[in-house]
Amino acid sequence: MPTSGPSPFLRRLFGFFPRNHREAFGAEMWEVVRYRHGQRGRGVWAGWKFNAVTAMDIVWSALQMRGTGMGRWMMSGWRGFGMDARFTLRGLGRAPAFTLTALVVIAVAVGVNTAVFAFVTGTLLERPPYESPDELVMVWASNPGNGQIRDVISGSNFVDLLEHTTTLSSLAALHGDEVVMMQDGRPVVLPAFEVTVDFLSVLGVEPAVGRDFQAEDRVSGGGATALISYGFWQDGFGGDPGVIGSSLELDGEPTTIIGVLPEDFRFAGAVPVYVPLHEDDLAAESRTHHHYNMIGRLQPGTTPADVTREMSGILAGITSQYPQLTGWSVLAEPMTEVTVEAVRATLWLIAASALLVFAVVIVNLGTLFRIRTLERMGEISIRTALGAPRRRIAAIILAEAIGLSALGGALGLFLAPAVLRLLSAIAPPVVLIPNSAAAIPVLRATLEPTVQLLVFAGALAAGALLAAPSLITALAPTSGISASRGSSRVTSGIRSKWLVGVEVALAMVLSVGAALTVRSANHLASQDMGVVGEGVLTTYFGDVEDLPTAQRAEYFRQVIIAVEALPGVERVGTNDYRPFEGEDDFQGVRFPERPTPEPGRGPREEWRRVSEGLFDAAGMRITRGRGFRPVDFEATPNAVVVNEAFAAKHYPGQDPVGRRLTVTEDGYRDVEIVGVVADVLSRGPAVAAPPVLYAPYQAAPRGHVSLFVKVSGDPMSYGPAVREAIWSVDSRQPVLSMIPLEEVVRRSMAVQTMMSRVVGAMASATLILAALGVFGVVGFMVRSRTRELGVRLVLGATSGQLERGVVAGMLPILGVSVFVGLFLSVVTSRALRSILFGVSPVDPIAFGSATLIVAVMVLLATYLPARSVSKVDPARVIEPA
Amino acid sequence: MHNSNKAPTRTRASAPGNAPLKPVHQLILLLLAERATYGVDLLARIDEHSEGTVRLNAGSLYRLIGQMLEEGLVEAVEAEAAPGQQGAPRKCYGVTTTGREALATEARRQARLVEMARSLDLIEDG
Repeated sequence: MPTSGPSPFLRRLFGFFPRNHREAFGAEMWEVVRYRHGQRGRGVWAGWKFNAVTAMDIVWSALQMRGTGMGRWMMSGWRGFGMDARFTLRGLGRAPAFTLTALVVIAVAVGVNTAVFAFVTGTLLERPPYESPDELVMVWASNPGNGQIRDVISGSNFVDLLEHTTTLSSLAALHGDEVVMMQDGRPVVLPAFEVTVDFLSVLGVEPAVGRDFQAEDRVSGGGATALISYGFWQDGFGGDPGVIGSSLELDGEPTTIIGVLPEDFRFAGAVPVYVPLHEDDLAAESRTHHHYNMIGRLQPGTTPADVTREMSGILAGITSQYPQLTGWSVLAEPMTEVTVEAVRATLWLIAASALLVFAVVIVNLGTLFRIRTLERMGEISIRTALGAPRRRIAAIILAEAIGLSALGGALGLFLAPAVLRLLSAIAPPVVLIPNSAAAIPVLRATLEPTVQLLVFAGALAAGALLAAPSLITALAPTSGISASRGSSRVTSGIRSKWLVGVEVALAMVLSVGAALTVRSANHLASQDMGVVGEGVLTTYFGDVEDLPTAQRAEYFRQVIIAVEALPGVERVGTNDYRPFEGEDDFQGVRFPERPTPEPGRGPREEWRRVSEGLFDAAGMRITRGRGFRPVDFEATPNAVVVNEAFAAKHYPGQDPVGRRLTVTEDGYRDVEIVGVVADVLSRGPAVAAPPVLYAPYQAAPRGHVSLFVKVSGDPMSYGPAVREAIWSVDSRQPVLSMIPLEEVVRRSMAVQTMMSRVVGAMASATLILAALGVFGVVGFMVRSRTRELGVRLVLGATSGQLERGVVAGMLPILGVSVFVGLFLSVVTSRALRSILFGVSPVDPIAFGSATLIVAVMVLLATYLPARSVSKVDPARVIEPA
Repeated sequence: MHNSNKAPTRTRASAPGNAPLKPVHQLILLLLAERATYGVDLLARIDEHSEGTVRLNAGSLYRLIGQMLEEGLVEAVEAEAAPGQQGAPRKCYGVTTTGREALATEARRQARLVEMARSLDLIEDG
């Protein structure tokens, strides 16, 4: 992943140098680091190599300079370690199954943890690349009475807020948009941001090349100007600095490129073009035309609450002149909070699961390692007898543990990019900001060397930790004499059983967590979303805002006819927006049978202007009355359809069909409700559908609408034909964001799906680890009891009886650990409450199934090695030793 | 500051009594004798002249520069803005008289060695 410069972590390593050296050469050294960074190759491996080589060079040079003998101490330690390493390698080579298991387990744990922490820290903890990001606030128009907590604001209100605020040092408005660039005679649609001229200065960002917008861009009348992104500059212009001052045709207007944004600038995804909003145009906009997001920078000493208070006051002043704004206030929130709110709980859950996997890995390897040490007690006692000092034995055990961790950890770091790619692939590109009409990309995962080093260091520390039980065993004062006797080994086996018990309990916790999240995701997936996505292609098209109403309506009518004429197309419909993508659009509604409300006090509801075929094309179910008919589209609309939420809110317990209402948009006066359509869960599967009113589009069509095409077969295979059909009406009109409706629905559940998949995968991993631990311990117990079992066979016991005895010996511990695991699950699953949907945190099915799976796995892992009892040869074991 | 008589523990670029200069110190001194310059440029010229056989990084380069500054072999010289460079001028390093003497001593020593190798027909006359 491209970054603009070397990791700041490297600069922190300068702290190893003596202070005077740091002060004299710090800046110059950093310049050299940047120079070498510029020379590194491309790709993750090259970045990793650069970081490792630079970090080692810095630390090594600093240690040499300090001249405290630390360097020499390290060198001598390294030589001693080298000798132990040779013993270690030989020992590990003789136990390939153990070595391979340990390596794979460590590699997976390190790989998964590195990727997960990169993912989590990248999203939750990474400070956005803006100046003092903690001072930035998102400012919303808010109407809690109407359920609109975080809404956009009108241009005219923005201009007033900008003029009167004293709590913000700067404030900018912005609006996600598209611009059309003509290329080879065809329109190419580019995502764009319309921003007021202070946008970059609010963020504290300066263009990498060229200049920012200036005072003359503040008002209309000057030439059109644009800033472009670094990526667009590289891909579209080959990074040519001469692009500054050159002209580009955007939306039919020659536009001068004035600057290029920095390489690491990401405000909301990779948006290539930024064009200025003019304050005089904004001031002339309707007060109720809510359209713009706002970001501001706090004055020193003020808080978001101060901004909320002050700006709500300013808006109240405006409301006294414009009563239609009654009910509206302003809400300011820290930007860094808002952007992660939607995913915080999910990401912490994933991080906690990854840590739990790590814990299980340590316990697991500690157990396996201890068994291995117990089995080597004979060799260790011989070494002790021959005069090997205890610290030498300790060094060999430590070398083995740390060596395995280092090797497994290094393998894990190679694995991490693949895991991260996998995570990024299943992570949603954007998520909806809760209670808002805004969607933002928040998951920006990068493999920071800091995280890699941290997890690697964790693996090494874990290596030392997992050697601890072995060290205690090997260095116990009695180890030399009792090593070859069964009694000590059996006692040790019992201790290992308890370690396995801990693993089983932890696996139980994760399995319950996984069962709960999987149940929750399944519940969401089985929700009736209100549309049928299969076989439906959707796209946005058109940019005919400037045409008169009748011509606009005619354009859409012709496109519908052209697309419907394509072979294989069953039904075509248009809608203002696609559901599930965070769009909203409110309009005042009046009911003739109710008293006329005071200005600004009447109900406002979401409305959509649609074509006749929409309900059929998108699979929206009519539950009462009828859908639209061709006649409803012939003249001034006389019919509307409402959804069930609308009916329940405004006609509780009554039949809305046949009732009349007026929409406060010319052309929709005194229309009849002809039908009720099932709710579409447009704000996501976990949020109740808002009341919506569907009206025939022809009286006031938007300039840019979404198209729904129901086809037979794979929707995407119709893409080129649909695009050509739209262009057959007018080849200058843009067509963009073409995807199957199924994909739109899938994306709306992406966070939950990701969560259940990731937690499910981790639970499976811990379960396998726990089973592996049980398998290892039971096998060891059988091996260490060979003599006893042999004697019992000679005395007439059957191998079946002995097998049952071995299994029965494990049962109490397994029972206790499953019980403890269940108890821990009840305690911890409460934390999941906020991210579970339709499932109780103590859901009996989830708890039951998780317990069953864990019990079966663990019993199987006990039974399989117990069967080796039958291989015991009584004739051999009763021979004199 | 308390002045201890303890011998410096770090290795020296040139030990007292004009003992041989280490190759990397010699290379740096030669390049600085050719032209006083700043860190990144010096690094680039080391890369170029050594054809990649000497590859220093930030830590090692400035450890060596710091060492040679302390031993009086190099000095910080008046900084100049590089052509086309914007912003504050960079700090440059040049060779002191002591540095030049050390280089000359080293060159003479190496010349004697080369002469010896030639007389034993280990290398051809060139």
